[in-house]
Amino acid sequence: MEDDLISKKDLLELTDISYGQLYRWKRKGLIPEEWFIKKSSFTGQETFFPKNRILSRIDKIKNMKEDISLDDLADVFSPTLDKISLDADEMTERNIVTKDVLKIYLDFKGGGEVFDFNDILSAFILNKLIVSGDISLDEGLLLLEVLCEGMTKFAGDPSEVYLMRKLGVFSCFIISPPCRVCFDKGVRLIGKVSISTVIEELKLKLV
Amino acid sequence: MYDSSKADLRINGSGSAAGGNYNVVKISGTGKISGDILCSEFHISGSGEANGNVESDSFKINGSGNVKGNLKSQEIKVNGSANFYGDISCNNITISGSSDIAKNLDAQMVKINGSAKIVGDCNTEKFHSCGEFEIGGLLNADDIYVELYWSRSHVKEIGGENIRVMRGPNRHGVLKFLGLLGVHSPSLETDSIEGDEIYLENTTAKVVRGNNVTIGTGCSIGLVEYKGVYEKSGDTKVTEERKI
Repeated sequence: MEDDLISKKDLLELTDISYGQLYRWKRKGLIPEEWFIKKSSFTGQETFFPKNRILSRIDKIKNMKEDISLDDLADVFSPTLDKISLDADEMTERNIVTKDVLKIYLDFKGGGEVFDFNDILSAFILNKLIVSGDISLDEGLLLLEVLCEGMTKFAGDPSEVYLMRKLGVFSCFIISPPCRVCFDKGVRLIGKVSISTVIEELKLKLV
Repeated sequence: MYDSSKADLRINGSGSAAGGNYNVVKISGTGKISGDILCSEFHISGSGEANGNVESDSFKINGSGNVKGNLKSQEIKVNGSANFYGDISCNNITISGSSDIAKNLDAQMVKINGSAKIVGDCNTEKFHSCGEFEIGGLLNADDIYVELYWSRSHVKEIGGENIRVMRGPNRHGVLKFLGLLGVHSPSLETDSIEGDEIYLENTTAKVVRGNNVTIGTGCSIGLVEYKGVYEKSGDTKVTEERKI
């Protein structure tokens, strides 16, 4: 499940950033410690990064840093769940969910008009998948149940949602990488959602 | 952060106290504080010990002090000697004398006049040292300015923007004399140095990578990788040089 690695030297060349920038971003917590992977090479030790993740992260930092201070940016990338809450109107105003999906969500959750971060996140994921047409409304309810349970179980750990169908019947589950999964042949994987990526997207909408 | 209506805690002579929320905490003589402490000012003159975490606006040791927990303060000054067993996070830390930090140091500005030992990483915007230091992890700072005195300094890795390591001027005749005998040899040892602008003297490193790199006198470098300008002085040893 680990993607390709890129050496620090290649990374700097490819993204046109300097050592100073890279170290500053590391210091500010914009690039997580775990992404600095030390490997021994013929010149002693070299540092490698998970290629896809670091490239998309650096791309985001470069695109956003004009408008937002580095410290605010660090909040966006931190996996901690913010203490924020929105009410139903704000959810649609900020384009986090469409009205229809919000209705499904309210039916499922029932009652409360105020959403905490986990609620917002679940609704956001649901909205994403339904709008993209990957899953139907009914299947969304099943997904919500899994999300609800998964979020309490995994809390702040990085996790991924797998969506699949077997003989047309929908099912989904959440895993916490790194781990491997193996399906039977009849299973078709229809989607994979990384929670941490979604949190980043969501936080940008909340800034 | 603290409540200024709180009482002061003063230990004059010798004594001990429980932790808590105070305005000014002052130990003159010998004192021991047993729990976590939150205060505006923490001041030790003589010898003092805090057994828990300390959070304050300013923290000052004249003499000797120990903090067993984590220390969080805007301003930290050590004149004398200090042992910190937890993480330190602060704006400015000035060490005149000696300090041991058993974990990591996070700061905006670090000034060392004397000697410091950090077992973990040191993250700061500015790092300024006139003396000797030992860092077990990464020294990560925008501006690193090091004047080497006395003996050997050691850092596992150095990363930043401007990195300048120089042999401090010999202010005293006796040091000059010892230097001639080979006893007084200030130097810096490290595995790797990565930065944008690098100037080094008396440094031993396996790898140096940067944009503009100048290797001054008395260095021994395994590999230099540079993008822009590279200069090397005569009496220095570089095994391999690569332009990228």
